[in-house]
Amino acid sequence: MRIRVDVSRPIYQQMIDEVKRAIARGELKPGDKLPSHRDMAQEIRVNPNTVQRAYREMEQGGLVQTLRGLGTFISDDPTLVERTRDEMARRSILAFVQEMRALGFSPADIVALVEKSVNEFSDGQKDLRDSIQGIQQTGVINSE
Amino acid sequence: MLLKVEHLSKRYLRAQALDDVSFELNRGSIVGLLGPNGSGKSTLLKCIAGLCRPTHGRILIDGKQPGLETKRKVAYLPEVDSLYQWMTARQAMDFAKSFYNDWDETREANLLDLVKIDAETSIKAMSKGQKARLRLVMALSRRAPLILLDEPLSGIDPPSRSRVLNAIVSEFSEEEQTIILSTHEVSEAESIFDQVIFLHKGKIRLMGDAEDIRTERNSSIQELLEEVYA
Amino acid sequence: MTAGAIRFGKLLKKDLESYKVFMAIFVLGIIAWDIFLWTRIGKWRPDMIVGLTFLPLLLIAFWALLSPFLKLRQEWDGNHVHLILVLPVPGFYITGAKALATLIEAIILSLIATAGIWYVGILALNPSVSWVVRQMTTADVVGFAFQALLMFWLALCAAIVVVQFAYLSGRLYEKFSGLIAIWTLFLSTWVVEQLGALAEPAFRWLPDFGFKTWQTINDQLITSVVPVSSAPIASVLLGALILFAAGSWMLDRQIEI
Repeated sequence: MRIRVDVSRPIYQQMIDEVKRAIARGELKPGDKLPSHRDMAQEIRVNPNTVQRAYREMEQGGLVQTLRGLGTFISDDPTLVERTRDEMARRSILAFVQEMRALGFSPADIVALVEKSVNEFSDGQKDLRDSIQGIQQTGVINSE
Repeated sequence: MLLKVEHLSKRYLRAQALDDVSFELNRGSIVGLLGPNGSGKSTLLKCIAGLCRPTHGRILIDGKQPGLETKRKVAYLPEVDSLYQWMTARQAMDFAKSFYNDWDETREANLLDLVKIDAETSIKAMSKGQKARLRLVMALSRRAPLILLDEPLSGIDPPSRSRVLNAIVSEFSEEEQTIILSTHEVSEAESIFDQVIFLHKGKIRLMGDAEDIRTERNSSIQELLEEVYA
Repeated sequence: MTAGAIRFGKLLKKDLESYKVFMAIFVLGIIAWDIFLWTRIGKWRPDMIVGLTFLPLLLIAFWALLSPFLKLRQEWDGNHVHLILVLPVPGFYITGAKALATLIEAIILSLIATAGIWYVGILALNPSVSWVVRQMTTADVVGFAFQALLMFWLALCAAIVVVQFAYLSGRLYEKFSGLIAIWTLFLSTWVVEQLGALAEPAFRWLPDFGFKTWQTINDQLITSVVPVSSAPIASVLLGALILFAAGSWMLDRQIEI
């Protein structure tokens, strides 16, 4: 798992997001072991207490469970992947919709634009790069 | 309480270096002591190390004022190059080691490896960055409860800075130690702090948990610092 | 050995090692000087050669006065005070190690210089005078030299302490530290003398000792003993000890960097 720390946002939050993303993408599976908080701290060069905080929050949120003496593992909950994907999707959509509304698009416009992009994306007639460029030109995707 | 600073003031002939500074620290954190040059960072660390005496107020380390007893508990990395030029790295470490019971040879070996210092190198032949890294090794090789690092990143090349920061994170033992690190290279170092203290003209301008600051202010410590000192 | 003794030893070793190159040069210089004087035997007047063999001792005395100052100053100039003043040892370890280092250096140098005086001096002297010397037993010679050297070393001890104290006093102030150091040098010399005079009666119980000397009168070897009283020496040393304690206390409690 690679984490690029952006110090203008809380670091523990970024770590949690990164773990969620990895779960949603299937890179981390239920039962997988996370690095110890010290190893993680060294890996991404952040304060060990910050990593602790991220692990604690993830545990409270049911994302991971810590087994004394064994380490921290992704929760064995079968609905976890589904839930996490759902949550990540909802969050992305929310951010996207807010951004589009701020740019002045109406809900109908937004839906139409999204439909168009998705179709272009799955048509396979254009290659991926073209479609991304097209989307960027129409301002549909706001680079992060 | 590991460190208690109470209404600390320090006056020099020409300047007020510290003005009514108070704060407390427990074991287990890496504290960024931030502020521009001349804000009192070095003076504060020197006073805690027992190298200067408060004009007013007091400092307590595990309940004791700086002195012979507290020097056993405090590791201090000075801002200046304090090493003897005629020694090798090994000789410098052996000299320092004999004075402290908490010197940990395993840590020493790890650190030398991490910061890429060959112990047999003569100090005379070392670059500024190498000397700074050696001084860091000497400060962190001790299992001291309180470690004071005065500008360990200043005046050294970026790869050295990176190694220094990695070494600090890797050897910090959060159960028993607290590290106070003063720097003006905030952007590079801020991810390793869990608390920060902003000093300005000898006074504390702001103190708090680094992550809370990022959450509340929606900015990095570096940005906030620029804002505060603007 | 206790931890304290080991730590003192480490400081002493460091102070000696940092001057080992200088010491080697000094030793070679003394030997070179004596060899040079040896080559002058028969060319220069004997009494002049004998006189000149004492020159190294003078330089050693001068060095012993300068060295405590240099040894302390190098710690400040090289920023090493940041290292040694955070060591968990009392101040007198630091001042003591430095004073002892200077004393050890002076002892080594003065023994070598004395050997030079002896060998070159005897060879240089004309037979009539060296005849006197030849009448003396080895024990006599060693005894005399040792007594003289002991007095020399004791005087150096007091001088070293005074110079250290003066330097440290200068360090108490942010400004004019050089002037203050020089002023303190004179003041503390005077104080040690005064303390010596004051304490002298308290040391009257100490046994006096005699300096055995030799001279020839009408080709007769006459031995006479010059009495030296111990009390003034002991009281000056007491004064130096008090000054040493004060200087070490200042290093512990007053000096800031």
